[in-house]
Amino acid sequence: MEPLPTPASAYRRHSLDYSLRTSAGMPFGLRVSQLWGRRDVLRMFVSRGLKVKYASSVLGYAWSLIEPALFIGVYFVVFGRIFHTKIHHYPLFIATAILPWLWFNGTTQQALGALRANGRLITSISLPREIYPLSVVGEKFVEYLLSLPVIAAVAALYRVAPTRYLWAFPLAVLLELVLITGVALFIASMNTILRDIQRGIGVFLRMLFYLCPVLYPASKISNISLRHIYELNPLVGIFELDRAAFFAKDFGEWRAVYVSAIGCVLMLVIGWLTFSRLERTVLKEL
Amino acid sequence: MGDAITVNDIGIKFAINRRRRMELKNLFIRGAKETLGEGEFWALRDVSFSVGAGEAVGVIGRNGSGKSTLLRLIAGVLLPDEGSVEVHGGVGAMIELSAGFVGDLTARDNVYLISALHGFSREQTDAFFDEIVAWAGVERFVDTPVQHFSSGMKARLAFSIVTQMEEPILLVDEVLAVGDTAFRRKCADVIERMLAEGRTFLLVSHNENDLRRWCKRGIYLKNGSVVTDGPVDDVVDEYLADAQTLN
Repeated sequence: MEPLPTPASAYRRHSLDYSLRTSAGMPFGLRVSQLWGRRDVLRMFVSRGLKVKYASSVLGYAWSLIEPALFIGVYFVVFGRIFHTKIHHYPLFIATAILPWLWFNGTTQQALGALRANGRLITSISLPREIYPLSVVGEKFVEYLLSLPVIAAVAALYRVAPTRYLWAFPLAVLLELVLITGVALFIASMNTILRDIQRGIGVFLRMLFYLCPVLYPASKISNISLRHIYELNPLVGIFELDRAAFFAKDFGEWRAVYVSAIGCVLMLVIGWLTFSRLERTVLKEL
Repeated sequence: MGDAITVNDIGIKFAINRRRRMELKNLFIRGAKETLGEGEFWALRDVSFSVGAGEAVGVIGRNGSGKSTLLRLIAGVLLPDEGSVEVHGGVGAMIELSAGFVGDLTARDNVYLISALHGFSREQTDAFFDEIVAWAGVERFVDTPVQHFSSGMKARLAFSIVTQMEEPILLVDEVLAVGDTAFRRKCADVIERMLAEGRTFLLVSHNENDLRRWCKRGIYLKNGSVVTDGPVDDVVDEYLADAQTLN
């Protein structure tokens, strides 16, 4: 038979690919470069996720604003009105931390199923597996950014201007992004082999919520050694930074931020390490 | 020409029951342990062979003999517990083709999505979009969410995307078993075109005729090991003879 013409350039590109698969898995550098090579797919998954989410509900994007606004309303009524919290501009106080909290909470919940929900795809098309949890991270990050007008709206309502610490806000976003990436990689791989996580996570997140300075300032914990333990939760430093943008005098010390930064990076390392160590097992489970 | 695929003493084990506690130890131990844990079995063990560039090889065996597992290891969607798989050249895997479809999205969106998963750029997909939609016979439904597609339509659309694959190594797992007679003939034409282009082929099939027609060499897998590796006619005959005695 006469060979049919093949796009020569494409053929040559593919014939340069080389891969070796062993039980030891891939070195970290190779993982990163492969992930970088398929960033178009990551972008595609993110927009697919958003498209599906916004297209399948009537209110679409409005939900990204309504949901945090409702949470602010509920906590304001319960803790501001019924329990008479004395915190000034309490709705704004809640808003500055509850949006970052909802971001963390939502990503964690959705990352649980990042691998399991895509089982058939993962075992039929070869892509860097990190793409699946990372696309949840990306999707939720975009949603978070789109929900930020809620904070601005509440601030405008109470006529509160941002403080000179406004720059702390992007820093908080960056730290939380690092933390969330680590958590997503960790939880997506762990949940594939240890399904108990799915059951326990709800209670865990609820506990964590009350262990974060969302409804109260971190300064409420006045015992200094207790405070240091409290600040080991990386979300504490992050939420303090978020809040500093509008409540400068509540921002106490940098210690919590340093601790948080270390915690976030550590979580990323642990998350990725867990993910790569469990990869072989996870693939068999899907 | 050199080898396109080299499989060295490969082994992979799976758990028989659903108890997973043992797996957590993988967190602390690098690599795999080469012994069987409790409730595990080797789905493939000590499998070695190589496929030369441009060779067409068929893998045959009963259900559960490890054929699909082998293909997935070569495709890189499973990782071995022992041994290694080396691949020289890009691999196009035709495994469970409709796995990537998102029911809520239109056929158009899905084509772009799945093409991207297979490594096509947006421009490439633009270039072949009309052609593959026509090939799959779904021109009228490009803006319909694929959840309203019949399974046959989905299978046709999925296969039409992979007909555009340019990878020099192709792995094909039973995907030809879908669709009606006319569609299967069209699929066969595509496979024959790809074979004529001199690509490396590894085909898993239960269809002896397909194997005899397209492959020169056959590998007979039984309970996770290679029983015979040789000319396809001999291998298929041996497999059929085995099947006879079992009946």
